[in-house]
Amino acid sequence: MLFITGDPAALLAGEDASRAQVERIRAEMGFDRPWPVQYVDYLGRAVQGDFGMSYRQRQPVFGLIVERLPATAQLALSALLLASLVAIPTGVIAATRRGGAVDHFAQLFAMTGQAIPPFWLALMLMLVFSVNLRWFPVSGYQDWTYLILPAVSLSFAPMALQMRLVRSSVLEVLRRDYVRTASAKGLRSQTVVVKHALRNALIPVVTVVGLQLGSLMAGTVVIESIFAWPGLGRLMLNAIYAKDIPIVMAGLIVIAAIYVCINFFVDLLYMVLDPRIRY
Amino acid sequence: MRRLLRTLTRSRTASIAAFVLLFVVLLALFGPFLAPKDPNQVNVLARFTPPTWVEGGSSEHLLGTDALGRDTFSRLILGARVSLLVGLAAVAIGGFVGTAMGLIAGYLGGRVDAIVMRLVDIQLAFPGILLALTVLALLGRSLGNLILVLGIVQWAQYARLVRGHVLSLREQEYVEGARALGARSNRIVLRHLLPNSTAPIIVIGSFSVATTILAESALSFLGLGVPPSVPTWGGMLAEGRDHLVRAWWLATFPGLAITVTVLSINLLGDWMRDYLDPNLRDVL
Repeated sequence: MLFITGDPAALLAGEDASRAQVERIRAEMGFDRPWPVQYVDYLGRAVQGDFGMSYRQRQPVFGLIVERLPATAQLALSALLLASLVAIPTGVIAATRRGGAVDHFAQLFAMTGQAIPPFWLALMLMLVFSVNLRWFPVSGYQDWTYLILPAVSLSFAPMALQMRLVRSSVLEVLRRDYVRTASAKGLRSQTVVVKHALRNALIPVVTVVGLQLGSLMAGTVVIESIFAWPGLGRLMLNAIYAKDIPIVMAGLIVIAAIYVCINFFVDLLYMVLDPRIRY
Repeated sequence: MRRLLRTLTRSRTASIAAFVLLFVVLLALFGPFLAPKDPNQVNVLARFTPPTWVEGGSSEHLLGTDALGRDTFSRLILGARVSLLVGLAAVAIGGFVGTAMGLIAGYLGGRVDAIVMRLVDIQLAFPGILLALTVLALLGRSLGNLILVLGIVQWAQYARLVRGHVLSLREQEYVEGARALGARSNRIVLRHLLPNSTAPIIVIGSFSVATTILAESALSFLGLGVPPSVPTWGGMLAEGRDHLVRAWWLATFPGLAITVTVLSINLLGDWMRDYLDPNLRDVL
C-alpha cells in the first residue's frame, strides 16, 4: 500500500507546504526509512496493538477503532438476531408444511432477499418509514428507534440465506430414519420436529450464521454511512476518502481478526452441537 | 444446446429469468440506440420532473428527470452496461485466476497445495468489499481498476472449489489411465481435470456475477466506482439519496433495476445448477 498512495508526507503537509516542511514531516513520521524497515516496524508494533497514528486525526489508530467497534457490533448483532428470529421459525414451518403458503413465501423471500441491495432497501425504508410515516428517525445514533431501520436493511440478506438453509436442512433431516422411528413411536409431530429434527437440522445453520456475522461487520460500511451510524464502517469509509492509510489498514486487520475468531468459535460450537465431530 | 433450451422452457421461473436477462443484455448492448434521450443532456428547466403517471409528470420523460433535468429512463438503460460489463469481466478474471490456482494446487498437492490454500484462507478472511474499496480509493476510479479489483478479490472461492474437485478427480481411473498411457501433466490437467470441473465453476460463476453486480453498485453508490460521467445504477442511487424527499423516483428505479437483474441471474443460476449436476445442490 505504501507504493500506491503517493507521497504520504506530501499528502499530510497539504498542497501549499514548502519542501522543507514536507521533509520535516517525512522524518517525523519515519517515511524516510527504507520500506522493508517501515513494514517490519509496523508489523512488530501491530501485534502489540499499536497501529500507529492517524494521518488526519493525529490520534492512535487503535483507540479510534476500539471506540467505534461497539456501535458496529451492536448493529451487526441486531441484524443477525432479527434475521435468525424470523428465518428459523419460517424455515421450519416451510419445511414441515411443504407447498403451503408459508413455504411459498419463504422460497420467494429467499430469492428476493439476496437480490435486493441493502443500501437501496435502506433508502426505501427511510423514504417510507422516516420521510412519509415519520415513525423512525432518518439517521443518527441515540435510542433504540435509531437502530430499527439500519438493522432491518442489513438483515434481509442473511435472513434470506438462513431461511433457505433451514428449510432445506429440516427437509433433509425429516427424511432420516430416526425421525421416522420417533413418529412411529407415536410421538406428536410437534415433538418430533422440535426435539428430534430441529436440533440436527440447525447444525449447518450455526456455521452459516457465524460466518454471516463476519461478513455483516464488513457489510455495515454502506449502511452506516447512510444512517450516519458512528461505527467502524463509517470510520473506515471516511479514512478511505481522506487516504488516512493507518486507519484503513488497521480496520482491515481488525475485521479480518474478528472474522477468524468467529470462525474458531463456530468450530468449537460445532463440537458441542454434534459430539461426533472431533478435531 | 437444443436440449438446454427445451429443459429451460420447461421451468417457468427459469424461462422468465432468462427472458428478463436477455432483455437487460440487449439494453446493455444497444443502449445508445434504444434510449429515448441523450442520458447526459442537461435541461435545468425540466429538473425533478416526476414519472409520467404521477401528477405533474410529462410524457417526455417516462421515469422523470433528476436534479439536472436528465432523463432517468435513458440513464437507467445506459446503466445496464456498466453493471453487466463489470459483473461478467470481473468474474472472468477471478474465475480464471482462481481456477488456475485450484488446478495447480489440487494436481500438484504437497507444499504447493499448502501454500495456495493458506493464501486462500488469508484472502477469505478479508472482506472483499472493503478490500476493493481501499484499493480503488488508492488507485483512483476507472472502469479497468474496478473490474480488476472486483475480479481479484473473488479468486479464492474458485481456487478452493476447483482444488477440492480436482483432489477427488485425481484418483479416478480415467486419470490414472491417462497417466499410464504416458500423458504429460499439463495434458492431464487441461484435457481431463479442467473439463470435468466446469460444471461447478459455471454454477458458482453465475452466482458470482450477481454478487459482483451488487458489489459494483455498492462501490458506485459510495462514489468509488467508474467516473461520474458514466451513468451507473449505483451512482444514480447515490444521487437519488440526496433528493430522497423531493424526488422519490430517482432512488427507486435504479434499485429496482439492480434487484430484478440480480434476482434473474440467481434464479437462472439455480436452474443451471440443477441442470448441470443436481448433486451440487448440497455443496453450492
